[in-house]
Amino acid sequence: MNTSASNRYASIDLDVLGQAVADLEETLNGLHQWLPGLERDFAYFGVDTASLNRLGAAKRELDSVVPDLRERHRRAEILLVHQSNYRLHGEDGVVHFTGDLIDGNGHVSHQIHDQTSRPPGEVNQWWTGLGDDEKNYLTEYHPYLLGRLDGVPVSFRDQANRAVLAHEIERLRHELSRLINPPGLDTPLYFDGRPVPPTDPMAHLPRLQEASRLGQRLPGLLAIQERLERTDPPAYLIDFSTQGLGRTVISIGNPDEADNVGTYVPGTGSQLDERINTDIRRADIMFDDAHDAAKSSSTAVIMWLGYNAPQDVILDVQNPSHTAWSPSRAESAAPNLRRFQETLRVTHIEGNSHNTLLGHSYGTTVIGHAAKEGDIHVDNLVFIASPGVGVNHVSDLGVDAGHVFATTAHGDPILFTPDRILGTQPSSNRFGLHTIDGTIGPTYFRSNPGGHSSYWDNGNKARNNFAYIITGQYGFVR
Amino acid sequence: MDDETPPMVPNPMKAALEQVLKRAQRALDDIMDITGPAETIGVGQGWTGSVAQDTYDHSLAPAANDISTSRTDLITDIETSLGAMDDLVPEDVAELMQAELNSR
Repeated sequence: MNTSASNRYASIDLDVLGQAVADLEETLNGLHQWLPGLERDFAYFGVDTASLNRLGAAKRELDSVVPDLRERHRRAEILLVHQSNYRLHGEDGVVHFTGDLIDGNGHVSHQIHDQTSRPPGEVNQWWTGLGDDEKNYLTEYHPYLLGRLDGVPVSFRDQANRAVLAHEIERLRHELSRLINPPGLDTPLYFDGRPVPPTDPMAHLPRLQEASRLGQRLPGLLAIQERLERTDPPAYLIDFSTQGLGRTVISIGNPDEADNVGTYVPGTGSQLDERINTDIRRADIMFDDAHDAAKSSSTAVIMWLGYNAPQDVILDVQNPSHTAWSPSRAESAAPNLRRFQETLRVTHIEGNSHNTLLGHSYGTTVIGHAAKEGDIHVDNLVFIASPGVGVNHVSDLGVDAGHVFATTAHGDPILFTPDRILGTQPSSNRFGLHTIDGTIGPTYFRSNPGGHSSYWDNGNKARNNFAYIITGQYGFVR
Repeated sequence: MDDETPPMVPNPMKAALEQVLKRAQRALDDIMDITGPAETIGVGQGWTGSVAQDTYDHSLAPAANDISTSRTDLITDIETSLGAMDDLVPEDVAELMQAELNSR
């Protein structure tokens, strides 16, 4: 931890303060026990009471301050649990905080926990009311909470999530080393606290499986870190978690400041491993194309992996909800996506930006479910290689049909997905989109022939159309 | 010897005050100096920051000083009073003193 940064804040060493409070309480108890009797004796025998009066004054002072100290210690203990949960701070038993832990409005360290259940607008209002010192303190000492708090500006979430990312990389490396370093033959092996005989290869399987999982996860984290380190254009880590399949929301450009904001939702197979590189790269491509298409306005393109994408296309009869054949992952993701789009509106500076949601493959299914079940807070929907979006007609999406776009390339096997699986494909005539050659612009646009992932290849006309839609130049969409 | 001079006996008031002295000495075993604990706050590492410093300056340091000085003065004050008392008093005076002490 940066010691010079931590000196900006107050601190409590729980062991030292705890002992001090115990000693003060012992003396205070002694004063309560002995002073009344001594006062009677001194008065009876006419002994000078000046020293006794001073002890009385000390007793009154300690009566006031010791409970206060005890309460501060208690609150610091709670703070230590919060800060040390992720082992970012607090391992030395010292907590750092801004201001006064006993605050009539509740210290920000406690306030932030109350924010996690509130709508983004209320969180943003709370955040706006904080002082700079408080904001910096929460960013430094509560990054795991702040980094995922919808309603906090992107720049602060990015700072917090970068710290979380660095910490998770270190943690994963440490854990991997522990799992794969081969012990000596005479050294007992332990996994999950249980001894493992060194001669039993099957007994090592869980350990090696865990090592394999972490070994696949680490390249994903490093890919994110590498992209963040590049600053032309700058990237912002809006959300991040290594729980489950992982969660990554990374923006090329700052959406709080951009005129145009595109959110790209990837599909089946996406998770926090080395494949995240592909999805980040697509966001970069769409950012560059949008910038080239409209240099007079600013754009941000977000890669939103804020849900557990299905990992298999092939139907798994044991776990059908885990595959792309089931809408269940999309249904679960829909509220998160709507909330995220609402958050973009809340934190944007100076009015609304022009917002577009683009989904690829199962990502379109997520978008469709989000749109049909509530206000999606965007201007456009773009369905790329969609197997179905949870509705059978564009009018069921709750979005102006003139701002719904779709494309599927000839040769993309997604065209063979039956309607009964995830709903009518947007590329189908039955869905209600149509191709228009004219000044208004078509809502179903063509892509170059190719496979399921070809839409971002060099020279694919789909890229031009993505850029035009993101920047609001609908008349150029072909 | 003059038959009308009452005999001199130990001063019961002084004996009682000597008991107070012993109680005061036991009290000081429980009323310990708090200078060390107080200095962990504001000045030391127990609790740092401006609020901690204010708490030390305005509450803990004065209380610690009062306790520290009073621990010595308390015994001195009693011993001063003891020194001003007669060791012996007439027996009849002692009886009156004892009666009063018993009625406390």
